[in-house]
Amino acid sequence: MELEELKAIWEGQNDKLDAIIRLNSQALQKAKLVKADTALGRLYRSILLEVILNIGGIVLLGWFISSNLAQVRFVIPAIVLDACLIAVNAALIGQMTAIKDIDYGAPIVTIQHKVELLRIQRIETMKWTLVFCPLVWVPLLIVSFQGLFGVDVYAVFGVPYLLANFAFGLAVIPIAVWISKRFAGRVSRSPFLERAMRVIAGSELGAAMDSLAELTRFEAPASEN
Amino acid sequence: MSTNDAEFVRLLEDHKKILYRVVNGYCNNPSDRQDLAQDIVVQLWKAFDRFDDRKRFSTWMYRVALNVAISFYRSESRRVKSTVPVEDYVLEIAAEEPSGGRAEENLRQLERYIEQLDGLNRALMILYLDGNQYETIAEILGITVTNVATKLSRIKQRFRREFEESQTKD
Repeated sequence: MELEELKAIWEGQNDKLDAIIRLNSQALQKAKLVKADTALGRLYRSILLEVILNIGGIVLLGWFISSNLAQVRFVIPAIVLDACLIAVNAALIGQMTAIKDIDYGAPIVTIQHKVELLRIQRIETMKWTLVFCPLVWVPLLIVSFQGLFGVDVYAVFGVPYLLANFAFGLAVIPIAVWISKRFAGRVSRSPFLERAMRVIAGSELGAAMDSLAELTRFEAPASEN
Repeated sequence: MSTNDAEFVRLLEDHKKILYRVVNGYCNNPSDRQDLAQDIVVQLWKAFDRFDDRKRFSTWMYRVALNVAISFYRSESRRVKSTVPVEDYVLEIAAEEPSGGRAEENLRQLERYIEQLDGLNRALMILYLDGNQYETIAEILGITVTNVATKLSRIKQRFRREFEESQTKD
């Protein structure tokens, strides 16, 4: 059997399809379509929400820094947190721009390239956020206690305790990477945890890079494949 | 309904088979099909203002539908997708009686073969089977006509080989 013969059968199905497919005019009403959203639209809105929340954090940290300018021990952790939030926001705004640049009416290879690059951007942001989490919690503790309750964590817990926590945070990173590489496939009951572990382990990024390579191969002149 | 909306619905009605072919080509599960059909229609409707009416609607619709379908399985949105309520299904498909003939059996085999292909080659195959010219396929995919011809030639050879192997096993 040749593919051309099956193509003829496939095309012959068209008349039958006309009879069995019906578009639901109610679902197509403008009101319903306005309310509905696309996957990219939902992603854009969730990133926008993150950006707004981060801007709130940046403003609060700015206020904290200006209020404690004379106390370096509070200013430095606040600057570290501020820098992290600004970096995350810059990455998120980059993602929003990338989403706006995706026009599904453009050629498939072009758009799939953009979609994969966006996916890689998302994975990179998530990876660095997860990796830095154990390190930023000490500055967060110092700033939040001072800012919210007026409690000086240095005085309450002592510098050695804080340094020990920071060192523990540093030690946690390679352990988390090792655990993620070893057990990411065994936590399928929790899709979020599984994804976080795959991101930390680098397998999510690997899969995205494979997809990008596949796209490049598809795009390249066939003789090169 | 405005003139623009009416025009959109008319064009969609005229090209509903594209929607059916793409959705069926990328999803096995009926509820996934409805989610994907919904996503494609919403994307088409939202992008309709950017459609250049000097160009063919079918080419533009194939691009949007295939781009959404390929992204559907790759993107993280799939993990948080919501199932479309039954009353909002945009594509209603009446139950058909399987004829059970040889032709239908061959078609099922063709569908199984398409399922094995990756997202991009699956798009190429659907476009080819739908009777599009190589130039149109190249325009939709964004690759050269020569590349389309070479890839299709390879797919045909592979299909012939697999079909023969399956016949030998039967």
